[in-house]
Amino acid sequence: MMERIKALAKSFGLPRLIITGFLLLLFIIAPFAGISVGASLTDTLGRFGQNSIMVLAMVPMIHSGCGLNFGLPLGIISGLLGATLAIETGITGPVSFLLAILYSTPFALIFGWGYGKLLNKVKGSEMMIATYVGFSSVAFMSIMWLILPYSSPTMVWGYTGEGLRTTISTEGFYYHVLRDFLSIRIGSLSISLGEILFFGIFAFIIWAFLHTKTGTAMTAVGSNPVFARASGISIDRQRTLSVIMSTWLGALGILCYQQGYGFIQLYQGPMYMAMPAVSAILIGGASVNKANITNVIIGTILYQGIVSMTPSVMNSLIHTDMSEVLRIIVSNGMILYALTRKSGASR
Amino acid sequence: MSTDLKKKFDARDFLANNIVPIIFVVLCVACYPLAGYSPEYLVDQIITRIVRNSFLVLSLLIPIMAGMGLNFGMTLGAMAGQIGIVFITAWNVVGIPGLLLAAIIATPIAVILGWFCGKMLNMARGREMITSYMISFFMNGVYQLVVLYGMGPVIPIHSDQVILPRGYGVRNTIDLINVRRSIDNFWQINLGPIRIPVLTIILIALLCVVIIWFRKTKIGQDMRAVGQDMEVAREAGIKVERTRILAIVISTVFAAYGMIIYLSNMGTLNTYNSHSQIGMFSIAALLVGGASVSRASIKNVFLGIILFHLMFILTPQAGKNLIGQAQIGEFFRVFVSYGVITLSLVLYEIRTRREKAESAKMLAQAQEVQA
Amino acid sequence: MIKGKTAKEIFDLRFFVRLGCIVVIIALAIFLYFYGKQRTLYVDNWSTEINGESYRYLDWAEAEVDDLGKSEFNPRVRRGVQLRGRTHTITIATEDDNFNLIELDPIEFRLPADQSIISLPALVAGLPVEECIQEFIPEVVEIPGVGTPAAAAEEEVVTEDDMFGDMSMDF
Repeated sequence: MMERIKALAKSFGLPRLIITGFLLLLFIIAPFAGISVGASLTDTLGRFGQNSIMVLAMVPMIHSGCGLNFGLPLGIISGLLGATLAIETGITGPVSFLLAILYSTPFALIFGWGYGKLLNKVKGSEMMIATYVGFSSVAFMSIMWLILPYSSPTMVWGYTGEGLRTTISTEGFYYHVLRDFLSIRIGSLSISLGEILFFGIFAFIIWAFLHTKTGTAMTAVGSNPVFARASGISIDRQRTLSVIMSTWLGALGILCYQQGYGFIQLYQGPMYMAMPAVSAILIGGASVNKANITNVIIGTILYQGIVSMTPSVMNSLIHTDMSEVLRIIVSNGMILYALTRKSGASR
Repeated sequence: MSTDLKKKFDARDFLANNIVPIIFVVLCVACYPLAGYSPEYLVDQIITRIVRNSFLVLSLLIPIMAGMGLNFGMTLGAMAGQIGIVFITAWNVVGIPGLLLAAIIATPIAVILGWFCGKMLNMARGREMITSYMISFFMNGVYQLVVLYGMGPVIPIHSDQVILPRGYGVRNTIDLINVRRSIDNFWQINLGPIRIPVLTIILIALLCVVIIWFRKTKIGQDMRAVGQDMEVAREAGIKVERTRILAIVISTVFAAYGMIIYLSNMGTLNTYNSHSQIGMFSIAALLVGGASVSRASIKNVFLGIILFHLMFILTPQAGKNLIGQAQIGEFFRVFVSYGVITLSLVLYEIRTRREKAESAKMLAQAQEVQA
Repeated sequence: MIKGKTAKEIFDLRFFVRLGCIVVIIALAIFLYFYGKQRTLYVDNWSTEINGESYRYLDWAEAEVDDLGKSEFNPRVRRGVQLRGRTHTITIATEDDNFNLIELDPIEFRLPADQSIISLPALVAGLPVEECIQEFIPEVVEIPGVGTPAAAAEEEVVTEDDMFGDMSMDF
């Protein structure tokens, strides 16, 4: 029995144990520090709902052996294009959310396809190149946001009438469209079934996909490329497909994030948005070439829990807000840990 | 007949191998008339920037020699240098003695950080670059922890110029009047509006000489062997892990000194931003000079700094004169900086892959001939 | 790291050479610290009181510290000068009641603190220099509303969420 627990703990990994322990500690201390556990849980669950899809976006590419998708900003940009176009057409209300998804999709497909083709040419260094593709595209779009001919008054600068503002509020459009949908209140705890349901649908879709013929082919390409090629599977095609899926989920993810957070962030905003998602899935137990839905759920809860709990608890205890620094150390440390593990496939 | 083929090949090869610097030359030539700066201004600016940045970019050469790719961990060296500067500013030690003292303080810190970085990279064989990249992010968090919270209570510093009013933590921006341009002013020759800081140039030349000499030493040869092929080197008896760590440590220490020179020339310290920008820009500059992930020389360093900084200076003004908004020029140069790294990395990968395939093909052909 | 070596092998020549180098560098660092540390000295021509004796300000004086240039001192003038190193000399010239020029010999002194103040009247009166110089503690005058602890605590450290911060900054 002890052996089994020890083996389980070892495979779970020391950093993850530390992080889980830390989070539990925070929750235990919270009431003593005068922080309502209900409110904190609500906060954490809300963040879970916002961010889970972006973490989910990591799964396809990990399966197909492309590594961690540091190029998520490309998918985020597709989502931003969809969101801004949806607002530009002027249709308000929850429908705009569906419109945003609709408009993002062609961009996500095209960008994902190009990105996938690029990654196929650089097998072995995907992660580094993904990072810089992400940065370059955000920088490029920064120029675009300034010169594209948007005209909606909610989005452009007041004085000149040209060029989009840095942050655009989703109020009036799809602000909280999922969060307020089917939300349950129990005292100070409020759970948004809408967001969880939304995530659940897509999580199920991905899970189901991975069990289809194409999905298993994708997994084979990542875990055993020799076998895959021998079975006649086109490695490049599967990889490109995984990249397109990941990019589209990234678009969906940022839209989900915006409805919860309340703002669309343009220009340099998307630059580093891949890191939290990468770090979250790693915290949840994934590695550079192995990931499943459970990793997504556990990872997002742990990561967002720490991000939301640490500031409030720390602040009331020692009156210093070290949360930002701790977040940097924890999330980047986690990625570093994952990168320095010896993995099965040489990725 | 075969010599004709060879010549033709050379032109195409030259283009393919040096596409990045060529793009930059074209870019600069295009932006120069648009920007409208006078040649003297540009020459003066470029000299200042070469002087400011070469030490930092030169520090990147050694890890490339040892086959460890682009050392994003030079940020750690920059942090060590900054901590040295913070101390001497708090203690009000001025001028060149101050800078020397900062270097002495920074050295052990840089060695420790470099050793940590090297150890991590050894554990992440095959993905050194993304790992060093993440190390710099991670260390930034640790740096902030130490500098924003530890300075004052844990590490005794009590200068109003350096510490925030709240009593602990270093300020955002520190004016380095105590060491501003100390090395440069020591011996400066003026050719009209163009300032030439001779002492700094001597220091940089010294570093170049050291690097050239280093390549010939036993350790340098070891590193090159490790860079070529780790397994072969190991079988030849070279302590591969130790050599790699040594390469990173030396690079980090040089980066620390380079940061001190940079800060002295700039005159201002942005405590929480300087070091990270430096890493990115130095690597971009090196790549613009025609270096690749596995091959870089001193020529790449200087050519890269000149081209990269020309672009940096010219584009905002060119953007302003062309489209009417300087902002676009600034975004453009950000895009170009990131883009050049992306392009270089992609080209390098494709070329390496092609070379491997070709050599495999030639090997197969040779074996066929034998059989 | 030190595998299979006897104590004698560890403490061999290489070890001592390295230890020597470290000692030299530390000594250099300490030297640089004292040689390069800049301290402020206020040369003061105010009436002052030392050890119970009052010394009136000089009607006119000229003083120079360390070849940094002569300055004139009218009554109630205080000038600050930045000095590096520990020992310095001050050369004073003044007038007596009959407007005769009195030139004093250069006086050597050491700076007691980061900010020090030296009194010209006391020096002219012939007091030993150690009593004429003391640490300078600036008076802190409270200007209401400015620089109060509450306001100071508001000065936020802007650490960029992203590491690279404002890329459009010059570099």
